[in-house]
Amino acid sequence: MSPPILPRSPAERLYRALLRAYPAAFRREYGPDMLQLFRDRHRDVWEGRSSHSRTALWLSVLCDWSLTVPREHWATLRSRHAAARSLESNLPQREPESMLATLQDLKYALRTWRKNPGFAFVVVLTLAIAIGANTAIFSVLNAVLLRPLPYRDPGRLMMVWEHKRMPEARTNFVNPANYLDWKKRSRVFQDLGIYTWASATLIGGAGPEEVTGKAVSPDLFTVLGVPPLLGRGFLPEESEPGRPTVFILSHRLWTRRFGGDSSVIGKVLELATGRATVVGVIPRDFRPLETEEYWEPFTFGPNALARRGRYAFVIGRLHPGVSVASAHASMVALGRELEREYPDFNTGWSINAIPLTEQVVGRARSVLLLLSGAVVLVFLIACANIGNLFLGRAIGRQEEFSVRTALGASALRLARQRLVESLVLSLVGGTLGLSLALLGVRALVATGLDQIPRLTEVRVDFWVLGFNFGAAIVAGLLFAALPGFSGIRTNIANGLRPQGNRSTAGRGTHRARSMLVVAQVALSLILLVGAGLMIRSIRSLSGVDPGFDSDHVLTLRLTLPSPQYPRGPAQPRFFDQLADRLRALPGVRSVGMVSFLPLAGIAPSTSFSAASLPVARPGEKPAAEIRDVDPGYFQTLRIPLLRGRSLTPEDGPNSPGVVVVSRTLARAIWGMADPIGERIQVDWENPDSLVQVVGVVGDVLNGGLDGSARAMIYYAHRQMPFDLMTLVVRSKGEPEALIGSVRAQVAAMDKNLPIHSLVPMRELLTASMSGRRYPMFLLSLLSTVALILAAVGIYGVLGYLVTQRTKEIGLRVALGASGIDVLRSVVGRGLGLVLLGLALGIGGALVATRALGNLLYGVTSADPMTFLGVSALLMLVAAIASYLPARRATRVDPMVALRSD
Amino acid sequence: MTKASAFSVQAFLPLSPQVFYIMLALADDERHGYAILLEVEQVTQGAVRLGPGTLYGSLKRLLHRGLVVESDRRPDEALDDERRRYYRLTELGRRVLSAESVRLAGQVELARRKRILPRARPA
Repeated sequence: MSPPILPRSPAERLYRALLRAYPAAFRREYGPDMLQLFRDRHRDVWEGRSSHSRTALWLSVLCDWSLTVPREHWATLRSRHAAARSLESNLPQREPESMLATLQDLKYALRTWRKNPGFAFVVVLTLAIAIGANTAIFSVLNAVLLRPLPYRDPGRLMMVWEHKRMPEARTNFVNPANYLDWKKRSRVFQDLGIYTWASATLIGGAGPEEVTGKAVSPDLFTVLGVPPLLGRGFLPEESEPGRPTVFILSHRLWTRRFGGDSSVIGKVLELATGRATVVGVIPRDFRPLETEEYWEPFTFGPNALARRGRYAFVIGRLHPGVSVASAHASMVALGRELEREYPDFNTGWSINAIPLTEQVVGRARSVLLLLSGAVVLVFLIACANIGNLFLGRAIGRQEEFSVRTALGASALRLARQRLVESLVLSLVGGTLGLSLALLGVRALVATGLDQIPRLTEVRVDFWVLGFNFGAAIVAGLLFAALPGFSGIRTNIANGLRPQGNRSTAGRGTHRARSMLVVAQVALSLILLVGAGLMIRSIRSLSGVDPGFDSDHVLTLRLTLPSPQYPRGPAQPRFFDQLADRLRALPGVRSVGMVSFLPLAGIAPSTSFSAASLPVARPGEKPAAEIRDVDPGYFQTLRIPLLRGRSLTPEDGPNSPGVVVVSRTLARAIWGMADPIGERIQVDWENPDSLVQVVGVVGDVLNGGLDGSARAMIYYAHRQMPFDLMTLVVRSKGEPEALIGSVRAQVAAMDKNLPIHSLVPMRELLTASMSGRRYPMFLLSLLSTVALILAAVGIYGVLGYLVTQRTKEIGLRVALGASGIDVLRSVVGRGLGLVLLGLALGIGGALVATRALGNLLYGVTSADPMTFLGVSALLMLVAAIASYLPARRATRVDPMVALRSD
Repeated sequence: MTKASAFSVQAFLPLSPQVFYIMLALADDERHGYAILLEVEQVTQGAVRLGPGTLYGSLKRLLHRGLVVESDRRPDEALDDERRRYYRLTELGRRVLSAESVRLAGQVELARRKRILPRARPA
């Protein structure tokens, strides 16, 4: 049967590879049909005709495979056996063919493990955990770092930023007018697209819903190389101001809100702000720029074309063959040109081009590499443990192997048998590990979604399977080779001697096993120190005073749609009325509001100058973050007023403009002098009018607990109306208890108004630390596994030692040694190994923990407390693990011990 | 190959659930591999999902025992342009399937008499 001429997908290639495991005859007969079957099924799953998911498909295929491959081999073997027996039995005996011999080895191996289920179980389980952890982390690494971004020719895509020199901001947003100049003049980019944030409130149909989007220039989808699934992309003229709004929907929004109906093209959507016509739908596999669900055209109106404000992102596609370095250099040169041409706006600004992949993966790279390092350590520890078991077993089997050698088995045959035995275990462990990895990946994805980009793209593909079974095979080879390396030789004379008279099982073996314990302790120490340092970082971070009191505070964010609430007094009026209603609720202590909460990520900032000081040169003006607040804000978040007065309800549109500034700003501009009454000019809404500083408040860590306090300017919200506000509600009891009544009050004022987020402030604070919590959690988990494995390793080695020395110990006891002497001798031996391991591990950890880099906070990578604590913990565990066999040694009855053998 | 008719039908029983469903799928029509798989999935409402190895391993054994043969019939070219192998039950296969059904029905009847099953439903 000739296969149809189709491009072979990676999935199909993988299945073909799997088919090779079946017996040749079976494969010849049914291989093409099975492949066809797989292809049918895969196509149905892919096209959504089957209820299977892709993961479920692979799981069931692998399950089927691992069950039926041995079955078919067994059947083949049996039929051959039957055939052989039915032949005339007086034919001369032939050396079995190598394939048949391997099958015999396999049979023998299976029988061996059936007789030693405990040993097999421990090895398989340990390997499964170690391989599973490695495969799970590798599949994330594969999706995030190794697999290219799902755009056309992603290697040529660059993120282009403006770059401020003083104070350094290497990735600053872009001004649209500058972007248009880049697009016109750049010779390294084929094309560049621009985008910025957008959002819309859909009304009608399934009720009001706020969806986030992006305003994109029409060429952006071309730059990324994404053709629409339905309809069309944006047309160049749709970017002109005053055009009717058009939308392109994401696949998710399309299926969620419009049921995947293709008649959606041309449909007019009711928005809180007006109407929009749907012109296209983007395919499901398109990776959104952030988490947006729709796109609208970026409008190049007069505001955008003025060189004022930087607020957009730019992605460019390089001409083929242009290197990243030359693209960057060319853009820096262009930046210099623009700096000369528009000195007022561009002095002190350059351009910075970064490959898009690097931009997307960013900080996650170091976290993932760190975790990979950690799981590799766990793998090594597990291998050391299993290696130990195998060594012990090899010593016990010397007799068996000696007998077989004496009967004529070749060394090769014995080696092959050992290899098959260990490969059987390691492959079973690998298969089990793969299932664990699938579970692990699911957990990783669920817990790490906001920490690591591209996590939704994690799949089990060819590389992941290859990695998984590659690790299993390497482990299997290692265990098979270990006895040979450690000086266990099959010595017929020695092996056949009765147990008691055999010369000791080889100093080499003891040394090898002891060294494995030392290695385990050293590797575990490295992992534990890493986890310990992360825990200490989180603890010192939790102790940082953010400058506000987040306990018992509920936050809710609202965006007012502009037709109903036009820019101006209507906006603060709505928010004030809502605040009054909330204040009247039982259980509410106080209410305030702010345009952007601390720790909420990006917030607007701008430059300003003090009227009493000389005018700064362009590009050297001080900058501050801008916040809109109401009089209740400082009191509700308990931000202390240090000087002057707070904002009051009297600071309205008709009274003189006033602001409150943060302590950092006051110090930076006026030093020790009193800033109250000073006037400043802010490059914001009304750059020509001056506002007066009436108060100074305490600093707030806006950028995160590990950041530093920034200069802040707080406006009165009635003097600077804003459509987006976050209300903060201080409760008497638990803030969650207020959620229902707060929701009801918002709905009572406007039932079409969606609440964007309604969460306790404490959660936001916790979330701001999640970038560290995630690696901390995983490192703690991995180091716990390592600790358990190390303890088992120490226990195993000492237990074996005690058994070996039973006779010697019995002799000593007979000669008058006390229980304490025996205990000291055994525990001392164990702790000696541990101390050596600790010394090596501390050296390794001093180097390895540098990889933690800026994940650490308030603790150095060589923190003596952590090193001491971890060493003490390991010593304690080791002491327990050595005490148990030692106690057994003290119970040796000299009479029994001396009489044995 | 052993001559299947030499054995008593009972010698083939009990059938494994997978084999039973595969034979059941072939009871009313000749089918190719994927059609068997889909039919089994449909009649069991997804409770039994056969993998390629299970399906073809079972078919191999069924062929070997003479319960199933490859069919010569080819459906309309337009309906099926890929060259697939079709399978159908042999007379022996049909008898085995029927015997297995009787055996299962006997078990169900027993359960009913012990009032494990509430009441006979009209078939």
